[in-house]
Amino acid sequence: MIKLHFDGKECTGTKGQTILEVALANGITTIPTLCWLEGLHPEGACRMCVVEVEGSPKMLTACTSPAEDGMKILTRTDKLKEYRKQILELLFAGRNHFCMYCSASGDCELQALAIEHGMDSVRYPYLFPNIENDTTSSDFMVDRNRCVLCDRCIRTCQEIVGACSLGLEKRGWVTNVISDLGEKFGNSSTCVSCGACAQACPTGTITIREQAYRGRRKDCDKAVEATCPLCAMGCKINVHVRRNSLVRIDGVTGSKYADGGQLCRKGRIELLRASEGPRLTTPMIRSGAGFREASWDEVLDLITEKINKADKSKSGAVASLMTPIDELKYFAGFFGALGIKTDCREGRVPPEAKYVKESHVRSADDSINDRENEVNRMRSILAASPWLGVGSEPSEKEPVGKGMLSLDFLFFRTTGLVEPCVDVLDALDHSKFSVVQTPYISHPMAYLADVLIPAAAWFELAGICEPAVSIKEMCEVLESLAVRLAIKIKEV
Amino acid sequence: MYRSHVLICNGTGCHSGGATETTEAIKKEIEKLSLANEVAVVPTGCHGMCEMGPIIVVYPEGTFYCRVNPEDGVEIVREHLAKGRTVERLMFRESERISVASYKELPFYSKQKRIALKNCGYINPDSIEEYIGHSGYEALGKCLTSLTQEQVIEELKKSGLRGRGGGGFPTGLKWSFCAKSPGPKKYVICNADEGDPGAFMDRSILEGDPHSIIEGMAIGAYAIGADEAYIYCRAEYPLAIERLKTAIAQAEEYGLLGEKIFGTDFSFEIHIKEGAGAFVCGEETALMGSIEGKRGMPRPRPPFPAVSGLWGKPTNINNVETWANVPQIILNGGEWYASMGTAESKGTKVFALTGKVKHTGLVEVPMGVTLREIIMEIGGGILNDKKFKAVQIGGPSGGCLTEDHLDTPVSYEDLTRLGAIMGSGGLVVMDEENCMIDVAKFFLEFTQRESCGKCSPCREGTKQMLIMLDEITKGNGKIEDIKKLEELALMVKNMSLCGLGQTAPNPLLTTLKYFRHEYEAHIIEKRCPAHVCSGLITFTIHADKCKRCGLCTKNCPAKCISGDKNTAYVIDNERCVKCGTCIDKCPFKAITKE
Repeated sequence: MIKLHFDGKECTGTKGQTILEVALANGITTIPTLCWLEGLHPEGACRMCVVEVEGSPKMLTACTSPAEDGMKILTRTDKLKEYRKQILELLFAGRNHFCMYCSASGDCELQALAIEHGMDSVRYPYLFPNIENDTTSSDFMVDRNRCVLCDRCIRTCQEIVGACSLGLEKRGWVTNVISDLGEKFGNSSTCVSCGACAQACPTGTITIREQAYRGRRKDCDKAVEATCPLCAMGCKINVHVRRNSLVRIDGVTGSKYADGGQLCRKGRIELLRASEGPRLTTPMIRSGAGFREASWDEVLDLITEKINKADKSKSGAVASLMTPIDELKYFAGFFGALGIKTDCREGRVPPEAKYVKESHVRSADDSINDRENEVNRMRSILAASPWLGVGSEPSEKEPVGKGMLSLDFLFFRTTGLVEPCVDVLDALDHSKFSVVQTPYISHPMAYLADVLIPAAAWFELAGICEPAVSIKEMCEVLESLAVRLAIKIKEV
Repeated sequence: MYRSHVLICNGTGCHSGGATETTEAIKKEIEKLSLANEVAVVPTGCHGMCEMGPIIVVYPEGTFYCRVNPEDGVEIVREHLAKGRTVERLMFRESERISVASYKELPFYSKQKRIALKNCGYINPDSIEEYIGHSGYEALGKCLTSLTQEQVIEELKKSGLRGRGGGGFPTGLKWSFCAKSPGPKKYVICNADEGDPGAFMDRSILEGDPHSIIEGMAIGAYAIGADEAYIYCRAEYPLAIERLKTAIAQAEEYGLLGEKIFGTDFSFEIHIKEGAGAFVCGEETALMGSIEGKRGMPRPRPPFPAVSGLWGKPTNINNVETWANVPQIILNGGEWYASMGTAESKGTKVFALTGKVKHTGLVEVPMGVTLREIIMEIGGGILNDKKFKAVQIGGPSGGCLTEDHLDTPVSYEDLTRLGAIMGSGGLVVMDEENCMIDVAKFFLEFTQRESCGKCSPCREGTKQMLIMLDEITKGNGKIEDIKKLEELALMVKNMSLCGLGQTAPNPLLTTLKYFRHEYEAHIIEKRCPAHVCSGLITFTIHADKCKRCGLCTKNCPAKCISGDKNTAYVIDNERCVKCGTCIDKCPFKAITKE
């Protein structure tokens, strides 16, 4: 336990902490930072966090200097204020910062610092350097005119992502951030397009294309912490919402979670892209080459009729990998009650459901034994239960399974977030009657269905946004069907 | 047993002056005259007086010959070696009439005290036997067999040796920090990334006496408990690297490097790392990053290298000159070394004396001698007997001092007090024809180019200072620029991450302090008092002196002088590129610049 004074206020910390860490832990907010980012190694490059310590002639960077007992730290002397302002002016004069044209304006930490320090003019001549931008990547753009060389992107790429794509080229005021020893970002062989660098960027230098037009963080109404629905990793995401639509998805940085806020390209970019699209708002029934709108009653009656007629051993119901577990239980209960043999056991999710959930991350250790198990499971699923996994690709791994896919009745629940595999489309194509419950009308599976039922999107189910349209929840639909079929949904 | 030794300098300076050809000619002539059994030819390291190269010293007389070309070499063999008649024509001339015969009598050498440069110019750097013959590796033997690690450090502390790379941190103290750091693996590094423009003392030691560095490092490694070392030498020093490689191979062959040295438990190996020549890699943390294969960029300290250095292990890093002093301190004792110098700065320091002095070169003097002694006595005064104006001490990180400071004793404290630094020991002498703003601009041009780009004050600040200076030299300066420059320079000095940025404003700050009137002349009067800044000078042909010969027009590269034999010649200053060719060509001195 050590005691420090910040501008006269006594604060406590522990040995080994930096001055900045002690300050932040004690709610001291008068130390400005730019190149510092929680979770990364401090570099002391921007020099904004420099503080004075009584009795020491040297000025210390708060982010790198160890806190010592009895330090009397001054964070806002006139000298410091002037020096910080000078640094900001130099940064603005050194590159081509035009806030009004920048997608980060308002979110920008450099801009915020300038406002905070009352930088109303720049006393140094603008250098207007001729800087090359890089828009070769399909996922993000790099506008080096806005770069302050804080190194946050480089450190993130190294320390959190581990891709080590980013580095610096040249020296002095012509230094620039580059990837792969000067290769264009679009041609980078090491970049995994996770976009972590863009999130770390304090200015508008690295912009994710998918986020650029949607708006800035500061314009958002709220930011909701949620779990990425795309795979079993369950990364924590911070979803920024503006007028009930998604604006950007960030990783949850800092020390809260062990992954340091890492997201993959899917979670940060594709999820955002997939979440947008024409929504299915009413039930629809196939009519020739297209669909016609129908009432709920008409659709439910039609489904009831088809289920009654169908051979239960040749019927199937499939839920997407990404269906929330509560829905999945309801789903299993309903189809189990129908007499369609499932492997459901009391008090737990059917093993097939588990299998379905895991199949997505399974391919990493694809040993022979696993494959055998898989085939056996596949057979049991197709022969005896309504479960099969999206993404399990039977036509490639278990070709014999493909023939078993010809069903009397097939019910599909999709979240519409990922492209379905060929087998799923095959199954839909071969079944005599198929129902697809989807949030999006443009999803490929929708084209092959006989009946479409609107579903809530992942962000509505997760409570991030209010439902955009009045959609019956899955349990409501299944309950209506259960009434019509005169069955009681099993507890799973 | 040879009756005569011909020592031919093979340092980089003499080498490029043609020493190799001279050596060949001398050897051939010796063969021809059948003197090979009587006269030995020894290629040596640098004598320091490089502008006089190729340099040859004939022992036992100690006759000093300079600027010896192959024909002169043949003459020396025929006259001096065969007949015993010295060749007065090739001797060093102090003035028109007096020529100095002996090495020791040369004013350039008589004031010097050579410790780090002790063997440079005396022994063949490629021969470990010659080094051993000059008490080489005795100090290492003494340490390993009769001194404890603490005693070695104690001896260094007693000597008062301070880091010769520029920082001036007490070497013994530095070693004790690293020795105290826990851990089984420690490193020793020799910083041979000499980057100051015009400085070449480290190169001369590496080329002239590589074994002294190896021995010094081995002693250091023993003292702190390290077993592995790196010499970080810039690739622009190919000769130094070659000689180091030879020296390391010889030392390994003699068992002076490797396992169980002198039969003790001490093992030590040295690697050479060639640097790509970035100035900032002379900064210790950047240097270690570079050895690790990273981009050479400084990192904030703490942690200091003594705690976490190369690959995170405790590391002791010293400059070439510092290492070269170590064996001598062990051999002669700390008190002996401390007997030289001032109260705070002990021993000697090597300076690279360049600029407008009569004799440029490397000089090693005891701390505490005055700048006047170095410039006026050792350097022989200002070239062409012009008036002394300033001396830039400490390279691009140092400061400009004036005539008023000439009697300042050279020591870390005195120089720092005046706003300059000891630095690695560059001394650039300037006369009245140097514009101080131009000088400051030159050094800032260097530092802004060599800034690594990591911290914002140095990266952006040095560039902005350079732009402002450039505008002043063009005549576009404003009076408020002086204040702006001062503010910016102080900010960069106080806020930069590493030594490069912290010292980069020194040339600017010292010239602003001591030559403010020149800045004011440029800004207010739009005049460059030294007639250097091309934007502020005009060329005029004085009709009364002009004989209308037309040579100026003929030679003007910009074709801006008009006129013919009948009308007067006139310079169009708009188009003039201020090259000064017309002044040089005019036989009647009818053209002046102002």
